[in-house]
Amino acid sequence: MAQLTLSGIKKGFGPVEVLHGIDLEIKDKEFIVFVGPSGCGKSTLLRLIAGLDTISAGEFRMNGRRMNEIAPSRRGIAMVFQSYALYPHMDVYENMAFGVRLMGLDKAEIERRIADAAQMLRLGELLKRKPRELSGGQRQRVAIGRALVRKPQLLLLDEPLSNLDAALRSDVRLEIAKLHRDIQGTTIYVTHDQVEAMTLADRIVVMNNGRVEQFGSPRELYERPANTFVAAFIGSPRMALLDVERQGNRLGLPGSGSLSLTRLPQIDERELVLGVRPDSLTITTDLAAEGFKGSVIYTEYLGDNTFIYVRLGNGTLVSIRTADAVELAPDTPVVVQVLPDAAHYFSRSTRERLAA
Amino acid sequence: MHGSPLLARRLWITALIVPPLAFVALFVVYPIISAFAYAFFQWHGLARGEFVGFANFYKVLFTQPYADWTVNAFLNNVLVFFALMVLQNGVGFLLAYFLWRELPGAAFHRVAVFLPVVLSTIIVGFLWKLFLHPLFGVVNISLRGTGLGSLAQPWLGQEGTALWALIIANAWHMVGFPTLVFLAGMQRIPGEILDAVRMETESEWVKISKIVWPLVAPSATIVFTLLFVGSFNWFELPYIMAGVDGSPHKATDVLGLYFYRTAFGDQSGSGQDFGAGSALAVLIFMFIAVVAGFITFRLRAREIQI
Amino acid sequence: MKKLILSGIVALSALGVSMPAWAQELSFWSWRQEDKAQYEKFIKAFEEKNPGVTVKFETFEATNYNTILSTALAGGSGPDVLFARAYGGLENVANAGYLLPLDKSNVPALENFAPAAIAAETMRSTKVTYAVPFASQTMLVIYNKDIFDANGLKEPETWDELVQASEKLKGAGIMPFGNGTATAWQNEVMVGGIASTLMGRGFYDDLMAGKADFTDKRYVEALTKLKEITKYFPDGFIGLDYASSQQLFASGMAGMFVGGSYELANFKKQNPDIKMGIFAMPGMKADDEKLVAQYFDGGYAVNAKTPHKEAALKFVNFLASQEFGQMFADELNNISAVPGVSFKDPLLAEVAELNKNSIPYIMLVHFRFGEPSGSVLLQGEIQKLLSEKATPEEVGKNLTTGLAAWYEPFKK
Repeated sequence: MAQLTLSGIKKGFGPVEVLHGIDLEIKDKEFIVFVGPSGCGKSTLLRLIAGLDTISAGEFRMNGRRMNEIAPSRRGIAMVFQSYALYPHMDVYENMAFGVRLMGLDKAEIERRIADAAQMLRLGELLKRKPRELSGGQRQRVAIGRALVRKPQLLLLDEPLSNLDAALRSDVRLEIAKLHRDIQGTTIYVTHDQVEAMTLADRIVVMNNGRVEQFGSPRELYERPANTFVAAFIGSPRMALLDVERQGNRLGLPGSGSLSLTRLPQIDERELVLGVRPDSLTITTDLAAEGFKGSVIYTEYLGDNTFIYVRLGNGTLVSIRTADAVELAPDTPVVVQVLPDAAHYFSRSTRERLAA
Repeated sequence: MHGSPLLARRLWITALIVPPLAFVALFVVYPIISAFAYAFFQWHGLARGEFVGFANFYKVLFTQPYADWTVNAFLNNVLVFFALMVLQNGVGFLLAYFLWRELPGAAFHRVAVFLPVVLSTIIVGFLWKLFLHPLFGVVNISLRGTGLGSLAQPWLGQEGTALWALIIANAWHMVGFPTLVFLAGMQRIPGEILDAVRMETESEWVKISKIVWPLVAPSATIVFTLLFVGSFNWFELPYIMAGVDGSPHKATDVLGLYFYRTAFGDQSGSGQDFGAGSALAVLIFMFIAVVAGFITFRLRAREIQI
Repeated sequence: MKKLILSGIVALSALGVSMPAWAQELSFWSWRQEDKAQYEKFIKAFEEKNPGVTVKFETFEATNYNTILSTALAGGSGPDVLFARAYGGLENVANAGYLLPLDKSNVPALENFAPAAIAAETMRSTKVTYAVPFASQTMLVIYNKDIFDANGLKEPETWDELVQASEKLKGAGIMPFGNGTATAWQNEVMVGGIASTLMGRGFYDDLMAGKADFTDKRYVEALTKLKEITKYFPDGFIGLDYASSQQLFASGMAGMFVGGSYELANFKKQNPDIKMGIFAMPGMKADDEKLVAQYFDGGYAVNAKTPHKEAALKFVNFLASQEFGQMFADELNNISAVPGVSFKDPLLAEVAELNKNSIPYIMLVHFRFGEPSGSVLLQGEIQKLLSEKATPEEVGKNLTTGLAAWYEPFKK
């Protein structure tokens, strides 16, 4: 079991601070995903947890015990690296046996653990192969096997899918999800892909510029993004973020007209950001209808859905999803409408979510 | 006329291949073969006498005083090889490891380690002769200065210390080379592999012996081979620091000096014997060629692709 | 590569030799590059007296000279007149029949040379002489006059006086001797310069007569004393090389230096202000004969195949003349082997005076004709003696058994 507490974690490389104070509380057996654009500090945070880099300030506790000064090999943590980092001179068996031998386990126990891992990960045929004789997917399974045989309290995975073919990715993703359930441990998974994050995580840590933007379940993030960054990062295609001006309960978009919405945030700000996901927008060619005016750029027909891309009067590009197979020629003038109760509101100045 | 482009091409190829081939034949193959041939003749100065078969080989290997001298020089070479294996390659490996791990002061040490390599052997020889000067050398002066005056020695004058002094001077001079090669080998190891090891152990020894060393072994092949060849061809440094006689009392005598002295004579001691000298040269060459070939063959097998 | 260059040199000089001889030009090869100007002068004097003969003086680096010369001679070319080494070095060349035998019929002046000088250029087996000896060197003790005067010292007459003088210098913070023995051949010099008097003329004569070998008590005693006096050598002298030891004396840090007479010019060059004196090592008693060790450097020889035999002999006769000997001594500050030469330089005159009581520099003169050579053995054994790795008795024994490999009188 592993319960993690990170408080005020900072990391600087020389004069450059890359993590500005991270506070997280991770529960036992949770599957946590760190997600964010590259350079956001998610891998750095993972390395601090692993102990591969030293924490500049703040404290990391695991099961109540301070970890800052503990060597990586003594933290009860195993890690699967992006490049898999298998030992090239050892065969699959040796790769898995190396760490457990150093733990001082007896031979029979080592044999048993490797046999279990090999079975779980379908490595039985490969035990005598050298890493260079394995495919990418096989290497990945060995890397995971090497981590599992140590029976870690905490399993770290650093972008484990990024070196795999697109076709393999969803398979492996499912395997990892299953693995997490089987081993009943705590897992932290780093990725820049929000789809992986949404599908795997119990809770997601969205990071940007060395800060946690939001920490919550996939559903919370999707439905109640804490700020415009999370709003835009989670969900595909992106949520449209429109800089609107409020007049009473009308929201005006410069050059595009205005529309009225109910349940606007009870706040005294005139300038707001209106966030709407593609499936909460509708479109009409009735130019007299209330809504934001724009013109069609192009339409994307995907069978079950159609995406329509529209440039609004102020230049913002929005995408609209519809289940109907509409066909609109480019440059067709349209009016875009927002479904009631599906709008998100953010402060223009702080970019924070405004309570409705 | 349709044959002429082919002919022209052949001429071109011939014109390109013949000069380097002739160069190699004249300056590499011919001298080696003639040294082989010289070894089978009696020599009067530089005038060739009668064919004597293996008499020169027999002389340097089995008749006194040559046999003792040959064995003494050979054993000294063996000692030099193993000592340098530790003091030059071993230390070079550790230095490379420290430089690679960016321990404090790595930038300074990188320069300090590599600088002596670019110095010529002559300069290094004279430098170390100065360091080891019994009266004014920095080694003895610092020993006296730190109250260890009883350890001050005439380093180059004692049988027990002279060869070791040369070995250390050589290691100081050349340690940057294995360091450079090992460092290059280490830099080829992906950082994540090292991270992976750190997740499994904190023992530097395990990291070095089980992971870094096996992965750097391919670079070791060339370093070992060159050290072997260099140790058994050792000449310049002992010549400069100890003289052609292997002073004191042949304690620093190595095959290179011994061969030179035998073939070309020593103004202050012995006459010249081109036949015996050539026989020695052939024996040294054969020994080095065979063992170096063996080392390269065996160690190659251990090479690992990263 | 080296051989190619050599053949080039040989070919070029062969061209020189085969030039038509309306005016005879002699080629004259030497290893003394540093003496070129002086030799040009000597040659001018010869040419003025011998119109129709010109001499071309060519020098080669000393360390490569033997190689170049033997290659040229072996190729049937080579110079008309040449510098030849002495003793074993001479035999290497003369053995092959490359040199013209010289005797009183073609060089009458040879008859007056000292027997030791003639012996240096004579084959032992055939008693044929091949060269006119040019100079001798002497192993003795050089001292710094200013240091001796300042400490009220004079040249020692007995071993005890030498020890006292050494003690006094040591007490005054001056190194008594500047010598070091890390350079192998310096060990042989120590024996020549220190032990000649102590072993004595009697031992030398017995050695030559086959009545004594190096285990002789006189020789062993002499080595014992040699070991004793090194107490006054610099700290760590066994690790001190030749060049460093020269500097100690030349810079005035040491009072005495055991060395060859050739050092006088070296020291003068390194320190023009130094005032030097010389003495022969004293014996235990004041009336023991004080001996120095002497050897001959080399000689002038004629190529047996020279097409200008007459002119070459004319030139060699000039090189054996007193006129030349005098010029040689005056210009080169060296002890000419020509008899009857007077020395303007007082130190040189003193060396010549000391030479009157001398024995040969034993290993070089008598034991360099086989392997292992006496020099190689002695140099190594003395290094063992001085680093406490062998006793004087063991040194004597090892020398004798080592030389027995080829020296008939020691074979038992």
